[in-house]
Amino acid sequence: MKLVPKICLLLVLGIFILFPAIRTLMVSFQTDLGVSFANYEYLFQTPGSLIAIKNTLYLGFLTVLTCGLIGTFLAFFVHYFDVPFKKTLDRVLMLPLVVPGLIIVFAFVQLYGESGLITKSIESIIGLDEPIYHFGGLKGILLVHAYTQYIYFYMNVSVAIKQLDRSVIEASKNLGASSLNVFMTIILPYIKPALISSSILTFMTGIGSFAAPNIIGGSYKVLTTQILLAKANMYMELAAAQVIVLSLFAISYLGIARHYEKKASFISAVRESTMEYVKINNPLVKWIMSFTAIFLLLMIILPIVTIVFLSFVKPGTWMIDIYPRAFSLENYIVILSKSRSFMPFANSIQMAVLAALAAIAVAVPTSYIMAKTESGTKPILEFLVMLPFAMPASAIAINMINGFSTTLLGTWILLPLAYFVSQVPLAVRSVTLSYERLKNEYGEASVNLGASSLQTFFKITFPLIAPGIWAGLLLVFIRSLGEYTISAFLYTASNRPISIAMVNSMFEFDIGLAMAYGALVLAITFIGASLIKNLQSLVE
Amino acid sequence: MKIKRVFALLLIMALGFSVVGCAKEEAADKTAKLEEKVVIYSTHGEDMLEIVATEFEKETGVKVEYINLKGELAERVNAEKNNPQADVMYGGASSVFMDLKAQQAFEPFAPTWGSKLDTLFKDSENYWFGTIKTPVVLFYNTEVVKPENLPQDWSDLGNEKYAGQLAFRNALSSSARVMYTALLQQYERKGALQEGWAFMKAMDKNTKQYFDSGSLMMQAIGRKEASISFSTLNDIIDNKTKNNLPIEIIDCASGSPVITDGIAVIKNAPHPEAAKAFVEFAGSAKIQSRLANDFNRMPTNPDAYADSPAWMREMTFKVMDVDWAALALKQSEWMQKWDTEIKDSVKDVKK
Repeated sequence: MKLVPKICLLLVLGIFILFPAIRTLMVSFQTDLGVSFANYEYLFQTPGSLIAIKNTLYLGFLTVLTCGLIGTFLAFFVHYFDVPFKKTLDRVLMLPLVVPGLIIVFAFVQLYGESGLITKSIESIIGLDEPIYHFGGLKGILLVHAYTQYIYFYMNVSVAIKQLDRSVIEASKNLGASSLNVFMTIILPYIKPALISSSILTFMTGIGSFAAPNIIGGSYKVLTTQILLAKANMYMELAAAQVIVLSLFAISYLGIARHYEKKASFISAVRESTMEYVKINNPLVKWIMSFTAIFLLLMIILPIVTIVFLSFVKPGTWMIDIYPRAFSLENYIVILSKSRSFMPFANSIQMAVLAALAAIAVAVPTSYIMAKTESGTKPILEFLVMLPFAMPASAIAINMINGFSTTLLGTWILLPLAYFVSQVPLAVRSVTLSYERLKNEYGEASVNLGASSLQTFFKITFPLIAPGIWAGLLLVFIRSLGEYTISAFLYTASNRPISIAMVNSMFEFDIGLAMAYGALVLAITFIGASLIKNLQSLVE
Repeated sequence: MKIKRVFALLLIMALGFSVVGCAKEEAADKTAKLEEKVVIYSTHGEDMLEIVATEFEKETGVKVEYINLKGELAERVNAEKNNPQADVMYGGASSVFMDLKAQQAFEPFAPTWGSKLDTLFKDSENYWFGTIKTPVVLFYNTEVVKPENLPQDWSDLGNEKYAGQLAFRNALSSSARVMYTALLQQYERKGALQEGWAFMKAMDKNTKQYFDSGSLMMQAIGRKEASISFSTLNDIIDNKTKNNLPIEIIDCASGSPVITDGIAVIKNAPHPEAAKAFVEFAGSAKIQSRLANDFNRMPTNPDAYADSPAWMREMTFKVMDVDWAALALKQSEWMQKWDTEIKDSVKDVKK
């Protein structure tokens, strides 16, 4: 009996995660001349393609660097010093975690693009004829990445800072260490594991990013966009090879970073005292800090406000003017009253719910095996559920196409399946954390007292791991709801999701409608995110 | 460790969900005569598709599902060839239809209005028919470019004096794909394909930005970020009349390509009868003239011309001589080369 669920689990993961990836690998060696390396030769020998490969890596490292600097700075700014508006600042800084990347890209175009609201305002205030900066290309992509991904560094470093032992710092200062010395020898080793693990996530999203390069990248070619073009030109084998190259980059970085992460991590002494914030007495510095805090709040809130603001722009009124003039509720009325306009919204919710349920159904047993047992299948399971983590979204999409081209391609189910695959690692993580907190004694006590295992699960285990399950469900739901990359490859007539509807409305002169879809997604994700936050505080 | 039994249950539940999802999809398909729904893969704008779909639903009761796949349409239809999910391919240049006919993606079907069309606009073996004529035309912002500075022909766009003035669509636009390959074909026919690629490079160098979206491109032209571009004639007229953009078309010396936007029934379509009914409907004089009046789409059906907007009969521009059958064979290869080796090449090197 014990074997059956395990085999089911391995089958599901094997069919939907491993098999498609292997299919892509096989397809990448198919050429007109039979099995050969010709596709890879083309990729590494054609100058244009080589540029895309180099650009991808360059973008990945620059993203890590930019987000690392910004995120670490913000973490120290908020959690090390005594800054004004600390609580609000911390909350607002977490916002970008739940805002879909596609929505940010659109907001940035409308704000900082050549005819953007901010660009034109600065132009007219200073009295220039030319924009003072050019938004787009590498700089534009980096700006979007900085906005959406500093959060990984911010979260992890903040946690590390909270565990910093202030007495050690005081002691070394009293012994005459300079601030730099303190930072290098005490603080840096403390936050190093946090820095490395954040860089993994950032690098992955950096090289796998699709919305930003595709919409504002302009002349900056990267692998993700080349994959879509190769596919549109019917060179599926080439697209497969590009996917393999991209995945190899991600896996290599993951391997190297994990290696250093292990080296850098150490267990610090448990410390119960709460950290005292460093007070700043110099009024000038204090003033600068307040200014910085307000500026940061504005920078982060502005794109979100812009989306909501533009969702009220009256259809067809905003092509030449810089500032919109006519406003109405029309966009929302269209979405809610016209069934065709409402469909994408319903589709996305349906698919996100399904993906979340499936991910949790897999995550609960998998996490159990990973956290509580030492069975032989554990490493295999661990490898299978974490594999999607090392694969960029476009790679997952191409894998699904290669894996199911003669069976599921073009059907309703393929897209939610792909959402499920891409979010499984997240769900497993969320549930594993709950299991790790769960003490074995509870279950054993319950069984010893005569309860059946079913009773034990529903009365003891489930309530204890429930917050992790709910958080996992909501996270997967939120991440799937506004998903764009996988959707762009796999959507079909029966499941057109909200992200595609947004992009198409943009294409069809309907910026207001696109923003109204965006605002609705934002509203749902914010509600979901605050639920997650409450669940997490319930656990602690 | 009986806990695992519960996990198995959960898992089975989850799988059950997905099976229900599939089953629901297929249940709708199995009715006789006209099926309950028809699935359309298209390159046409959604507001236009919506009107055709709504009218078709009114007349037949068949539910229409559609998506606008733009430049990716051909690849989708081809990729699903072994297990087709769509019934009708609606829109896309005749060259794309020729290519897919060769790949055996279509089912021949002759609608009643087909016999009225000029042979230019249809397949001799009834595999596809044209329903719309779509000229792709160069245009400019009249407030930025002076008439004496206008390019006389496409080849002038490689001239340095237009540096930074051009804004085009990227290769995910189906009309842009036709435009770039049609220009290359003009050179190839002279036996000067290399010269053609050199021109593409020079034009790329002058291009300020490639847009993924037609509306963002038009917005950029309207706001004078760039001043010269090309688009479909209906798109240009829409923006001129509905959005009040100060734009005019340029009648190039070597002409403008006129795409025949086709329609075809997909082979092994899940809803074959509804597919045929849709083709019959979408090309009818009634719908062609409706699209002419509401969306400025030029009809192929002579019966629809009579009550079409006046400009369609008055407007004169030179038509580029394009060998569509030859183009069909080269399109993928050329566009792949354009994407990797031509587009943005110079700008990347400068960085």
